[in-house]
Amino acid sequence: MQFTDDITDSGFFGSEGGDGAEALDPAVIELVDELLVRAPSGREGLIGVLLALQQTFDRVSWRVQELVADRFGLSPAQVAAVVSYYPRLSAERQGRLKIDVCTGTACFLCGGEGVLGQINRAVDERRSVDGEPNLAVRKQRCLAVCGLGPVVRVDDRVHTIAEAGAAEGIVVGLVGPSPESEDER
Amino acid sequence: MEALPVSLTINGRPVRTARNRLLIHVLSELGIRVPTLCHDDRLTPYGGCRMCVVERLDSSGELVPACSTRIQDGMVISTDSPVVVEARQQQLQLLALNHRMDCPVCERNSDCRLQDLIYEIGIPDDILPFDFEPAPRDEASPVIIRDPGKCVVCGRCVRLCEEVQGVAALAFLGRGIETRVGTFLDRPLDCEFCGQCVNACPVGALVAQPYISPIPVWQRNRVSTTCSFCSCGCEVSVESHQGRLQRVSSKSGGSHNRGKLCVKGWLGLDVVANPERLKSPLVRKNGTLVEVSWEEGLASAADGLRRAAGRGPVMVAGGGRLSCEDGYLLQALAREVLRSPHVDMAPVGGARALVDGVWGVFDQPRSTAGFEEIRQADLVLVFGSDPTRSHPLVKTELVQAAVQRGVPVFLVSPVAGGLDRHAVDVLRLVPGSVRDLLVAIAHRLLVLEGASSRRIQHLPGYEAWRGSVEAFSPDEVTRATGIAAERVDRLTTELAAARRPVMIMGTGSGVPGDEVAVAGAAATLTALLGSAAGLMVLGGRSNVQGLVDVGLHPRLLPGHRLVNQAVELEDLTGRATLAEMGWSISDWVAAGPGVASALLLVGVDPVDLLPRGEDPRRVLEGSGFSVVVDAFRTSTAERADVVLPTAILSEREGTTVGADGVRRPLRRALDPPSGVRSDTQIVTELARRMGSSLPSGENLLNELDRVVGWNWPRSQPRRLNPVAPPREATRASGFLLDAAPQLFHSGSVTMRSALLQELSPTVAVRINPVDARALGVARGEVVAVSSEKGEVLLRTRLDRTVLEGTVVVPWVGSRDGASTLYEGVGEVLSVKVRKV
Repeated sequence: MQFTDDITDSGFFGSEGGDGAEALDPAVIELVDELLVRAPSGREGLIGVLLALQQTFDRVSWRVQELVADRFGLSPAQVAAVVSYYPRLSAERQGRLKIDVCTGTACFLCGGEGVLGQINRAVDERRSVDGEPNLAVRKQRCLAVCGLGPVVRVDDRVHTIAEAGAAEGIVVGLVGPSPESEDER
Repeated sequence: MEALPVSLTINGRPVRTARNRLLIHVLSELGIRVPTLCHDDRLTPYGGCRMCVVERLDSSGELVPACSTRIQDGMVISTDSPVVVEARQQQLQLLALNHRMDCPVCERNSDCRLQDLIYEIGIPDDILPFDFEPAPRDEASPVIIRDPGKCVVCGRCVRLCEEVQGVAALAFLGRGIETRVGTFLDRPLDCEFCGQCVNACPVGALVAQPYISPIPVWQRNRVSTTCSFCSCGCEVSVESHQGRLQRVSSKSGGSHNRGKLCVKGWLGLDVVANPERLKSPLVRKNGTLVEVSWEEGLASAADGLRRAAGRGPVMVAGGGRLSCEDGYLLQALAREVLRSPHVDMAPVGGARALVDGVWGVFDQPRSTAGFEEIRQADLVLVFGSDPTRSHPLVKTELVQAAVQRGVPVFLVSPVAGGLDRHAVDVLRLVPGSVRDLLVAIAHRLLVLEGASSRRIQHLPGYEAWRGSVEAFSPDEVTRATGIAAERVDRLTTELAAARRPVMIMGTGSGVPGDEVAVAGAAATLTALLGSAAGLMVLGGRSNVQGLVDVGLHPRLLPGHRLVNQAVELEDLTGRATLAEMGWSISDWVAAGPGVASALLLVGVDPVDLLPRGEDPRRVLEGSGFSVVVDAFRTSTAERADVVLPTAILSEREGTTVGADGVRRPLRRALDPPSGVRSDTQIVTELARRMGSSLPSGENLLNELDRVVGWNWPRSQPRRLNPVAPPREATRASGFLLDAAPQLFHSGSVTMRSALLQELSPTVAVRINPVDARALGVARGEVVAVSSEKGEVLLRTRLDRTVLEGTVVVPWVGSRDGASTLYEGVGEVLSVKVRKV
């Protein structure tokens, strides 16, 4: 039995619905409450708390969003709106390695779409071999080096003029050995 | 001219106006209609759809949105230049691009802002190189269908849900071109179902499933009337076609509710088409109720009542939703025709608070504040019940005060509700101790701010009252209410500093504590806070205030006259009335069977309304003869000798008075089932058959104007009354019971709305997780809650907002829930809770 955080039962939706929330890991609740103590009061503190959670867990899961909403006196939809607005926040795990492929106008014209397809194929292949789960390939609108496109960014490193042939190399070269699986929170 | 300091030029015309206004308001005053999709006067200016752009000729011809631009001195504006027209056309083209053009089969065909605008403004012929992105329709919610493929992302729904309803079930998800309106996790809407989003949607992206109809809007009959579900008195537009309900909505301008509705007002009207409606009179023959003609039904009722009146006292009572006219006629029938002083209204909250509570301190049995005062308030204190459930319009006003104007709202409520997150402090006090808290605030006010006592020192009874409040020391109050002294002090300090504070008192069956004492304490506090402070008592039914005004009360004649003022009344009506005080329904039930020789109950169901402990069934069965006028075979009607079917809600004509004291019209928007008569016809006909003629039509309206008038001056404090010392409630049986009203029902009428029934959650007992752990009960397990009077089996909901040592059960009439446990209305009850 879990009593510490029966959040949806408190009816913060304003309605009397919403039964059956699974309990969150008490450590997560503790962390959120710790962050709250340091955050500015009111809604101003929301983004800071979400960013800190994102950094810790590599995502702000739906359950955590509900908890944060409850603590800030917001509805879960209001928190989801913020999480879905900022590219740095996400409800899904973003992956240990983030590969951003630019498909903005300049990069698109230079073949960015083709690079994206190649990288996706390389990643899929890689996954089928060793089940690498922690890769995220994202389409970006512009990475602000339009003169050197198509551009691929892996984590914080930007690879310019990523020729189609080089894409696979980027993946293989940067993924490295299979990472140890992280515990699911 | 100092009064109108801003001068601007609009379409070549010089205009002078006040400072800081929105351009769109100035334009509309000039009769210039600017096209909008996202603008809503109830919301903070937004500027999303850009349809309202106008050209600023004074600064290099930039285009500014009229809806969110404030005027400046010297502005030169053109609203119809070619640049403006072209900008609007292009904007409309972009909006239309992502709108699935299903027009011929769309529910909103011929009732769509986008359709209107495309027709009025037109869109360019060239085809833009983008594809329409289809999005699936969400039909999972029982009443609200979401169709993102038609959404123009104007955000009126999102903003209303957040700023006005305070729920924020809808939000903008994503950003840029991918922005869409959605719910958390794309779950089906699970909200208060107020319908604000649907009514505000300019297109067919949000549709009310029950109101989908093949009849185009322009073929429907549309009548504006007043909602009779609660005492907020909202304006509703009821659309019908050949007598069948098509849709309920509300106009966003003009009326005091400004287009806002709640689940009951929006969807509850389906109750009129309930197949269980009585369609012909019933008379008891050989022990069973059989259908008879109106002639026979009325004759039996009139004969029975006349004969009974000769034998002994007749008890007459009317429901809290009767119109003022019907309430007046009913008391006239009792006092003038049946010669019985025993007149009362249904045992619902509010009447006793007004007559015995407020009137004990002020010179009128009326609220001193209304919706306008809430809009002007700089602090609001809400107690008795969370208006989210009982009076949704009041709740939206408080959300707007808090969200849009930053007004502090203090909430005293036993259980988490919609207003919680908008309140600066939520006080969960020991059930039944609201009065103690209010007196304590008055006491602290005197201590903190001696000067304020000058406002009430001159009133009779001041010394005795002043002496009696000395017992409310901070320690005593904390013991009785469970609220720490610092929080009482904070509330007191803020109340003292507020310039226009408003207190809102919720009433209702099951709200623990004596509503008379609570209202008395609240009225005293209001007097102490000065003439700018206001008190609004929320009656438990739509016309509690109006029925008090027309004298449907055992101790009040029409126009708040006491029985010793009967002569004054007779001078005005030209008919003899009865200068005697009578029994209330509770007095009658308490007196036991056989005391009343007959009963006439119009739209009131005491068997379902009163706590089981008072056992009106036994008393009803013990009365010689009983006539029930109702739309349904209620538990009371089951036990009657004659049952007469009647028109309800929007099938009626007359007037009703809201909790704010404003009298509003009831217009017949729907036809009652054939064969059903109105309360007015029935009461007048009963009187006629007993040889008396009651006024009707114009005569009745004129008489009401003379006798009641509804033009009282502002109510003033007149005296103070000593208060009993604070009392700590005893948890003799382990827990204290608090009962919360329900959003989706209030009694025997709402219970018969199929839609409201579908939406309402299962009845559950809310308990603090700490208490649940001590009892070894998990969420969802069944417990037995018992008092000396009865026992109910309920599922548990763990709720950390419920005070330890308290359990909260919704009050849903006597069918199930709390009423089974009570001995009397308003009692503070200790209950046992055990695992089964």
